[in-house]
This record gives sequence, structure tokens and C-alpha cells, in this order.
Amino acid sequence: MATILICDDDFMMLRTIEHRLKIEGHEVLLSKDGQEASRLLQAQSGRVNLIITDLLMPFMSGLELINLIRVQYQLPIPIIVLSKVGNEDTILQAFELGADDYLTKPFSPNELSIRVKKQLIRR
Amino acid sequence: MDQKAPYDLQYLNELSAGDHSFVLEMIKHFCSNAGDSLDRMNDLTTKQDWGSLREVVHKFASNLNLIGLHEAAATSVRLEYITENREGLDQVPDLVAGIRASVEMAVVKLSEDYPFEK
Repeated sequence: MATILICDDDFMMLRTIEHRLKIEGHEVLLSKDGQEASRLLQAQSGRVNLIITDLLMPFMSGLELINLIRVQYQLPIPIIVLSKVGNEDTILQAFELGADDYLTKPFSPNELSIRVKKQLIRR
Repeated sequence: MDQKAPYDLQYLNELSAGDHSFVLEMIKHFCSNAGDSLDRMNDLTTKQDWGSLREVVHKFASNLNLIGLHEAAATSVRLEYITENREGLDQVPDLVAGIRASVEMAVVKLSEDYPFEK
């Protein structure tokens, strides 16, 4: 099992993803925006195995967070974007910045589980 | 839940793997906080702040999907499109009112079906 950092500013969505991942035995860290996720990443260095992030959040967006992780921190941690934004431009931008996968909300819980497993196997 | 319930918890039950206490926590949170989102939507509509309205609707739509307010969720998609593209803005007040009516009806029914301490 793995340690997964979730970043989403919506409480219900954050708790729902957390609940789902805990059922599958993962340890979960929660952050409500990119800044908090960044602080957690610095504090928990080396412990986070996967990041699941929303895109539209206050203070620091998901795209900014991905850029920070890949460019400034140079971390190879797998990143799954989980967002309601489903337009092609945003999806391409997320992948170009270094996202490894992209799921749109509302998401299938089984699909999330499979995509999480796939990313964890790759690490 | 009867056929006419203005909400549908199938998705939330699926996400939570049938954990009733978790479903109750989400229902309680939704019933306690939906009013704030609705008030903000009304306020931003009055101010014609379409960008901010789109952001609030975008976030609230995820909760509508979780609680299974399908009609309101579909209306929110329409509202996001209109506020992003600035087309048909005259429809916004009616669409916001429609979401409010659906949500308020659901909150009343959820509070009856799943009583919790406020």
C-alpha cells in the first residue's frame, strides 16, 4: 500500500476520495489547495508515493502545483489529475507540465482504483 | 428512498462502498453548507460577476453529482457554459433559481429521511 496526497478545495470531494483510498488500504494526506500540498510535500519528503490533484483551486492551481513539483522540486512522483475540467486544451497542458494521468469528475470509483494501482506499479 | 425522492445516493453509496456512516456525514455536510453556495450564486448573479459565478457553480456541481441531484447538475453544466462564453446571460437568473429550488427541495427531503443533529 502507498501514501497518497490528495489536493482538492472541495470538502466533500476531498473526503470522498480519501474514504475510497483508505478502504483500499492506502495512507492518505489531505490538502485543500496547491500551497498546502506543496508544504506537505516538503514536510513529508520521500514519503508520498502518488499525488491526486484537482485543477481549479485558490492560491495555487493544480497546473501550478504540477509545474512546481516537476520543475522546482524535480520530483518524479506520479500525478493523477482529477478535475471537472474536461476540455482538450487543459488536459494537454496538464500532460505537458508532467501529469501522468487525467480523470474527469464525476469519476468512476473503480476506474480511479485501477488508475491509482497502475501509477503505483510504475513508480 | 421512494421513486420521487429529489436526490439519488447511488453514486455516493458506490463511492463509499456502502459505508452508511460516511454517507450520513456527506449528507449532513451538504445540508449544512449548500445554502452558502446558493447565496453566493444569487449574490454573484445580482452583481453580474459571471467569472466568479462560474467558479462557484463549477465547485458546487461536484457536490450536486455526489448527492445525485441530476437535474440541478445538468443545469449547472448549462450555467457554466453560459457564464464562460457570455452567451444567453439573460437565462442566468432563471437557471440559478432552478438550482436553488432543486437543492432546497432535496435538503428538506434529506433532512426528513436522514435526521441529524444541527
